[in-house]
Formats: sequence, structure tokens, C-alpha cells
Amino acid sequence: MGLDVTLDADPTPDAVTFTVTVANTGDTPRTLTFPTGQIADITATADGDPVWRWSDGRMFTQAIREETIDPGDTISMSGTWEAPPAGTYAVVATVEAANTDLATETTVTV
Amino acid sequence: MVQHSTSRRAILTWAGTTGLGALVAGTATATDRREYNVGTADPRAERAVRTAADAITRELDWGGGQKTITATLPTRAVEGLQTRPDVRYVEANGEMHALAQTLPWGVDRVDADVAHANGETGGDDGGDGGDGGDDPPGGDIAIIDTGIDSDHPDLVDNLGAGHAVVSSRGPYAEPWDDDAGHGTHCAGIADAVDNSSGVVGVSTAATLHAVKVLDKSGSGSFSDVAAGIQWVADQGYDVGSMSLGASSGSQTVQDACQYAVDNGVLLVGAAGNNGPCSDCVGYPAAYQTVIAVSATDQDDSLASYSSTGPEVEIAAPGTGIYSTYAGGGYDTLSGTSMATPHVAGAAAQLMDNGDSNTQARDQLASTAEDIGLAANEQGNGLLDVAAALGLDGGGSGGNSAPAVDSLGATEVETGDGDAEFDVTWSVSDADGNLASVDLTLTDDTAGSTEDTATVSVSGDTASGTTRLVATGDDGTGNSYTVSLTVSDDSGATATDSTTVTETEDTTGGTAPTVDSLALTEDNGGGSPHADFDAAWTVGDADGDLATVALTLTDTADGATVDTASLSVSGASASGSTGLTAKHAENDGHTYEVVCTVTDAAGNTGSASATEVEDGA
Repeated sequence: MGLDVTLDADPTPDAVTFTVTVANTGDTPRTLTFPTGQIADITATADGDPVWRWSDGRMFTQAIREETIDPGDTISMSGTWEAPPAGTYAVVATVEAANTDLATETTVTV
Repeated sequence: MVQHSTSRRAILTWAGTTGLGALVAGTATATDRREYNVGTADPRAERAVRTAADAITRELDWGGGQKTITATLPTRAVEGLQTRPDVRYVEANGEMHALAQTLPWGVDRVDADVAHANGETGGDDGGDGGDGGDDPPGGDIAIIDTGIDSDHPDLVDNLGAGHAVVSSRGPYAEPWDDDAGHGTHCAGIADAVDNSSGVVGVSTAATLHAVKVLDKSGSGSFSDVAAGIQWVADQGYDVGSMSLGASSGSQTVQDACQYAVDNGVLLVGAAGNNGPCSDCVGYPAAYQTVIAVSATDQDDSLASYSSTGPEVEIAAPGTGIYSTYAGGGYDTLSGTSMATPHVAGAAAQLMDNGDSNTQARDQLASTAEDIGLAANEQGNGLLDVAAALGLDGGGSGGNSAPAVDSLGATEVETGDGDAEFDVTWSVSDADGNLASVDLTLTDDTAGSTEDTATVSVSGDTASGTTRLVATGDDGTGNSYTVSLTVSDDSGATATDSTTVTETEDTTGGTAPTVDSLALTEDNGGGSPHADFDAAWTVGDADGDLATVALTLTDTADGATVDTASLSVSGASASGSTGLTAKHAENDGHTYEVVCTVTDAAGNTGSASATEVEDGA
């Protein structure tokens, strides 16, 4: 469908910074519609239990947000997990657009 | 460059949806593809555009086979299309900039324009709400959001103090400057300046305070939001507008909301954009301390995205709202974020007029217009600014003010000493809710109000003749002002006045006199009382005698022992009036009678006479 989502993790001793990137790999512009200011969410789980979710404790603008991604272009958002407990986590990124079902997963070890 | 439509210009003037002229101000870029509007003359041209296009954004059908297709096209394709005889024009699609002030549909729908027409702006009387920082009169609206463009021409005159819990990223003049656009959009809905350009807000002269708690991406932590709310409370502002939310609550934010409300702030929050859904109002809107606002479309239906639930207190326009945007421009956005500042702007007007936060909240709820949605969708109904301010006649589309159509006054020639005028008037009201006509007669010389009258009226038009009287006030050449105020059921008024001069002075100009007065004992009849006869004659050169008053006094102790009053008329009168000092026969005291004569103009004359009660 021409849209590709990736999740990068940049662990440091004190925090892990995640970056969710949506790329238009097709040859026509794509418009994503987000119900709020939230583009994506990131959830870290350990043994199937959620340990950290980026959107927890955050509020967002409540205006419909449309982002048009031209072919070859990307949009991205970053979220930082401060002071994560040591361990290995399965991390899922979901794109919060109303008209897509994009998600990806990675594993990070702190 | 547009070869087949030489009568057309590369820059076209369009009529926008608001009916205002707008100019296409597209800017060419060096990219190899962009959006164009292609005017086509037949289906073959349409096919050519579709074949060449990377994407089609819109097709407008003008009838007769003519269309305009908005398409993303490579530059190469544009050159090819321009040479086709069935392509009428190719122009770069651009932003439309309104050249005159637009009344956004939401401001119109909630009848804020009716409030403006009645002088309700949320600001100081002079509309100088921009002198913030000095606790100016007028409402204070805190936009708790991504900040406000500190230099936006449609907002700058209303900007007061700002506060950055989160600082804007970039080279901005203020740390609370809007690096996202959302907060500026909300600010314009609540309180854009009423001037000759851009948009107009629900309030137009309240003071806006930017409280930046959301970052450039449009998100902020619970703690940042709570800190912003607390700052608003500590400044003593009237309204906190929160076009933000989360699907889960926060004790920190809840505490901040309670603190703000306890300190007199009215908080307004977006119900959320999780719709369609039920019982899904987000936070902080779901807190009891916050007015939860759902969003409507232009046809009064619930916006598809609007969250609903029992916490929804009021609905407001949210879809396709045109307002100010960061960078000095304008944009159209949709969301419960847009509905929220409509309510905030209205609340500022009420609180500017003296309402407390709880009074304003009750008033907004009780005057909301039932638009037939479910209770969990509309709460009490759609925001109605005019009704909340008591300006609505109850009819749709707001109240229209009454008018004074004619007013005239003529002197009435009478023989008495009053200045009398017949006032002839006619009034009207376009929406037929006339209520009353109040007339006042003022003596321009003395500056005093001489007479007033109130006439109940109803319907579309009313007229009448009302007599006003300046009693005993017959001075030659005095000017009087007759003023008329007509009111309708909504409290809207109109006033007119006229001046009339009293020329009548043929009567009442001279004072009456007591020409003779004698007091004699009446010793007949064996009465135990001291009986007297007062014989009097009075006269008045201008013939408007009115009353004779007699007072009998015992000079031994100054006590008034008897009085009498008689009506008289004409130029002269006389009589003999019995007066009695009870149980005082032959007590040896000296009694005095005072005779006072008054004419119709209130002029007086008097005389006195004495007699010793000694049986002789």
C-alpha cells in the first residue's frame, strides 16, 4: 500500500529514545488523518505485560490533523522512555491515523 | 502561457464560501510537481488530466461539460496540457487569503455577531482589551495550548501576558509563541479582533493569554498541563480554554482544575475526538470542574469525530472552522478543539459583565439552544451567546433591535399654569417583539425631569400620542427635551429625542394676592368653643385662582388649632370661613389666622389677621 513504518530505538544508560517513521514508498502522495495531535504510540512490554506507554501521562490537541506524505518523504515522531528498568522489552509502535492500520515491532535491551 | 483562454488571467478572483472576494496567492516553487487547477472543456481533457496526474484532489463540475480538476501534476504534464484546445486553463493551486473580514460560520451560528451588534465584546467599553498586564477591565481568556502567535495581526491587539511551561522551539519573539498553529487557531475563535480583515472571534476585545503547555507536535505531559492551569488561576484570569485531552485521567490535572475553579476560573475543555463513540469523554473535560464541549457540523448534526457522554455539558461548532493560524495566516481546522474556544469566548463576555465562574457556567447551560441531539451528544444544547447575554428574543437567528421611526412634540395651549405637550411617536421592530415605550420630559433650563410615561407596546409596529406635563412650569421660552426609548422583549433598545419650546405664557404669570382679611369672634350660640369668622377676599390678575388655605393659630403657644381649605377660581373670590379653637371660649388668648392663596401655576400670596378671644 505504499506506506512503511519503522521503529528505531536509541538506548543510553538513562533513557531510551524511540523514533517512529512513516515513509511513503509508493509513487503517489498519501494523506493520513489523525483524530488528535498524536501521530503514533509506542508501547514496551515485558513477558506480554505493558511496562511503559509513551502516551501515558500526555495530553494532545483535539483537532483533526491531516499529514500528506509525498512519495519518498517521511513523517516521524520521537518519544523518550526515561529511566527504564533493566531488561529486554518487546516494543510496538502503532500509527494513530484513522485510515490506516500501520504498526511495527522491535526488541530493545536496556 | 494559458494559450486557449486569452480572456482569462493567470490570477483568478474567486468567490469564497463566505461570499467575500479572495485572491489566489500561490507561490511557484522549484519542485518538479505540485497541485494545479485544470479547467477542462470536455471528457477527453478530463481523461488527459487523470492520466497525467499523480493524484486528484477535487473535481468541480460547472455544467455544460466544463469542470475544474485539482490535481497533482508533474511540470512536464502541465506544459502538455496547456497546449490542448480542450483545456481551458491551468493554474497553480494556492492559498486563498480573504481580503475582507470573514464572519466564520461558528461565530455566526452561536449568535456572537448579535452580541457584537449590541456592544458585547468581552472587552473594556472602548474595546482596548489589549492593554494587558495592567488588570484592564474586560474578560481575560487563557488559551492553554501550543501558544499563540505573538505577532498575528488579527490577535495582537488583544494579547496580554503569556506563560511558557513548555518553550517554543525555534527563533520566536516569545517563549510562549505558537510553534504548532493549534493554539493560535483556538485563540482566534475565542477572541479575534473585530477589524477590517481576517476573522472575528466570539469575543472580540477580551484579553488573550497564551499558556504554552503543549509542544510543537501538539502534546504535553500531565504535569505541564497542570502547571499551566495553576498559573492561570494564580493570575486571576476569568476563563481557561483547554482544547486538549487524554483518554485517561490524571490526579495532578484534576487537582489543578479544582484549584483553578476554587480561585474563580471557569474551565472549558474539549470532549475529545474519539468519535463515533459513547461514554468516551476525555480528560480534563470529563472532570466535574470543567465544561465538556462536544462538536457540531454546520447543519447542527453531531460531528462524526466528537466524543460523547454524560459529562458533555454544551455543544459548539467544531467542523470546518476558519480561524487564525501561526505565521500570521489563517487555516480551516476541525475538532472538539475548535468547539471549546467558542464557549470560552462566550464565558469571557459573561464574566466581563460581572458573572462569577459558576454563574457564567449556569447561564451558558441554561440558555443553550436545543438542537435535538441526544443529551450525551449536546448536553444542554448548542451554545447561544446572544441568549446567554439576554439579547435573544427566542427566535432563531437572534434578536433584531427595535427602532424609533418618528417622534414629534407639540405644545398644548391650555388655560392653566402647566407646560403641556402632546408627544406623537411611532416605533417598530423587525422581529415583532416590541415591549415598551418610555418617554421622559426634561426641562432644559432647570435640567430636571418634569414627567415620565411608559406605554406597553407589542408586535411589529406601534404608535401613539402621549401627553407629558411639566406641572406649574409655564416659563416663557423654556425649552424641553422629549426623549423616547423603545425596548423589545430581549432588552434591546433604541432611543430618539426631540426638543420643543413652551411659548404659552398667557396665564399663570402673576401671583395671586390676599386683598383683605379680617378675623372676628363669633360669640353667639353658647358654644364652649372659641368660634371665629375669617372674612377674606383674594384676587389674581391672570385669573387662575386655585385654592385658599386658612390656618388658625393660638399665639399663646403657637399651636395650630384649626385649618380650612377652599377651591376658588377666576380673577377674584371672597368668603367667610368659620374656624374654631375647641374648649377655649373667652380664654383671653390672641388668635392669628393666616390666609394663603395659590394659583394654578403654583404662585402664592398670603396675609394674616389677629383677634383676642375675650368675649368682646
